[in-house]
Amino acid sequence: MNLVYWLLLFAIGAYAIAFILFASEFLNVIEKRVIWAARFVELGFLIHTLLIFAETFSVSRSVTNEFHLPVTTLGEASGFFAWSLAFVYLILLRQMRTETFGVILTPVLILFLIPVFFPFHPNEELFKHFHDGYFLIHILSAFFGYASFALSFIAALFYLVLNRALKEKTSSTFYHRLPPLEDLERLAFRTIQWGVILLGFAILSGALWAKTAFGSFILKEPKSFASFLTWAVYLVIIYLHEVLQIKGKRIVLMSLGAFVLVLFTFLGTSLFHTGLHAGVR
Amino acid sequence: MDLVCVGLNHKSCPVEIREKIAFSESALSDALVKMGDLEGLREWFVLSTCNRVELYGRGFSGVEESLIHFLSDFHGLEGCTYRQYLYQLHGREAARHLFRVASGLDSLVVGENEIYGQVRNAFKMANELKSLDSILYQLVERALRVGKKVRTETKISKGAVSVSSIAVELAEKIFGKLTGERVLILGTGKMSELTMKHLVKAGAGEITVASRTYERALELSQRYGAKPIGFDAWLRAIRTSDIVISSTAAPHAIVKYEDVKAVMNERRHKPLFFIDIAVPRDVESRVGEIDDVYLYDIDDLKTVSESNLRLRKKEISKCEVMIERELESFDQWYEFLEAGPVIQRLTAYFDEIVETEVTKVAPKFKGREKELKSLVQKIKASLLHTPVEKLKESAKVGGMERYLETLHSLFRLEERKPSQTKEKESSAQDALPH
Repeated sequence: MNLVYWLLLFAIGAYAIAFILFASEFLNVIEKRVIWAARFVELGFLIHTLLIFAETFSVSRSVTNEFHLPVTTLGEASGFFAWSLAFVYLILLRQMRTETFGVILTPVLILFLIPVFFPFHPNEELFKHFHDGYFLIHILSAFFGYASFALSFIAALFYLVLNRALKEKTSSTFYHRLPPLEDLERLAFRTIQWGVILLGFAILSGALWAKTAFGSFILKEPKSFASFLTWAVYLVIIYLHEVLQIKGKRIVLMSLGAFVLVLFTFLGTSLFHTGLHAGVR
Repeated sequence: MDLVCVGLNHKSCPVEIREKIAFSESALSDALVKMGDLEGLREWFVLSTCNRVELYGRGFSGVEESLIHFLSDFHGLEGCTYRQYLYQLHGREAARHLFRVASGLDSLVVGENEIYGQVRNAFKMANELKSLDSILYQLVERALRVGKKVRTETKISKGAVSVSSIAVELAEKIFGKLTGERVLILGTGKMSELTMKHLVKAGAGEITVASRTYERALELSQRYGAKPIGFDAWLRAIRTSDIVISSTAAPHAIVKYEDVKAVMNERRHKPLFFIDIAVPRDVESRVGEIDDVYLYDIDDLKTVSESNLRLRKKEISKCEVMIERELESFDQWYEFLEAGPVIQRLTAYFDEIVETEVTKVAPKFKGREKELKSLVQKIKASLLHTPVEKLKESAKVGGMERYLETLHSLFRLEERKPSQTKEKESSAQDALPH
């Protein structure tokens, strides 16, 4: 087994230990383990980062003998998305390192890391574009943007669970472990703001890259269209929430609905088509 | 253990009697001073709250009768009026009782925090008036220690149980840490005033008071720096409020579904929390069905309280284990206390021999006196180490008296006085387990 596999195993191991600690705190089996669990997420992220580096600078996997981001196969892209998710969670959401977020997020990270083990066929179309700065910004900002939307989705789900518990006057373990309703709303919409900014960068840099690569700012294919639609829908949601000050359950439900677009843009269009974006060769 | 506790509490005695026996703060200091005249009482401590009056003492046998008479004399009561409600606890049971009291296990609301502060204040006062000596001091200090420990390491005091604190907890679950949320009070009942006080203490902001009698709204507003409004203006005030506390005496619901629905649209669904303490209810139950409106009536609040109390009661067994552990540690400390004078005498005996022998050989070690002194001190410490450790161990498992007797007869310790020097005293004290 090579270095990448060892790093992958260790990263999954660290996230798994963090999950066990978060879960035991959540279920009251062992108490006061959140700090340790957070340390293991940090350790997992560190190993995960080394994994990304190892993949990036691994000459053996480079078809064109150039170093490139590990996003050329479905497995790599999945692992890179997990890394973006962990990055946004650790760097931007320091105050939300609670057992409730941890218990949901760590299995998601593991789930997205597992495909890295499998040898998917690389998308060779990508290799020739890695030297382009716009292309790199496009990929990085798109991944971080989608990771922000994913975290917003988790926060919105928690909001609905807590809202229901408050309405029905039930106090389950989950109820006690969740942050306050308005904090969850704030978190959901703050991550949407980051997502909108990052996806905006991704679209802009994507257009500039398309101009240099294909001679046109706009690519007429589903993924570009879906990304723009996702961005526009989230922008409208942010406008409603921040400018028109519409609050509460309905706007949260709208943000949840918008996440379906993220899934379609990020996963749907890639699963059914090959190439850079669907239809682009 | 010659400890005694004489007292009555909310379980054993009705409030009419408790209020006659209770000591006010000024009366308590007076009582602590007067208790110094009681014959046979070596140290004493009084805990007086609205739910209990307890006198702890240490002294010769029969001291509990003196404490009971003191209660009658101090309050000018006939003993027969309250004697049937009194409990008397001795030794280990008295110690366990104080540990349970400080932990909130003996309180009306299990795990409440107020009693901890009350024990601490009583301790402070007793200390200032010098009514505590070594043993009661150690007992109360340990009671406070275990009281703190059970509250931090278990969930005995978690989850609000009073109506007003549940309201605050729910508000914080909706709005997060309260930072200036606006409160509207409908009706000026005692309960809504108390709830409002709790909310303001937790960080709620601007308060508006609406009452059918404007004067009452004005009076309450002046007391809390709130804004009084006429009763016909409450619906308009809801638009800008986050929390509404309702406790009017209206015979039917005054807050209607249609009105709140319209208000919520105007508020753009900013969350609105209703606390309806009134009976009959002021807010139509259908109001709770509106999105982003959270309605809790008095029964809902009681249900939350019962559920939290059940959670607290589940923690009692954990607390009892902690209390038992502290009690065992106190027992060991108490047992070993008896060994103190014996160790002092033994140390003095060794010092005497060392002194005599060192004086004899001193001329041979001229210029190296320091080295010699250090060497013999080391030998002395090594020789004493095993017997002292053995005594500590026997204090844990029992049978220490046998060892003390043996030491007495082997070294004729009863013929010697305990060492008077400070150094020797402290070395014996250091050997005591804490």
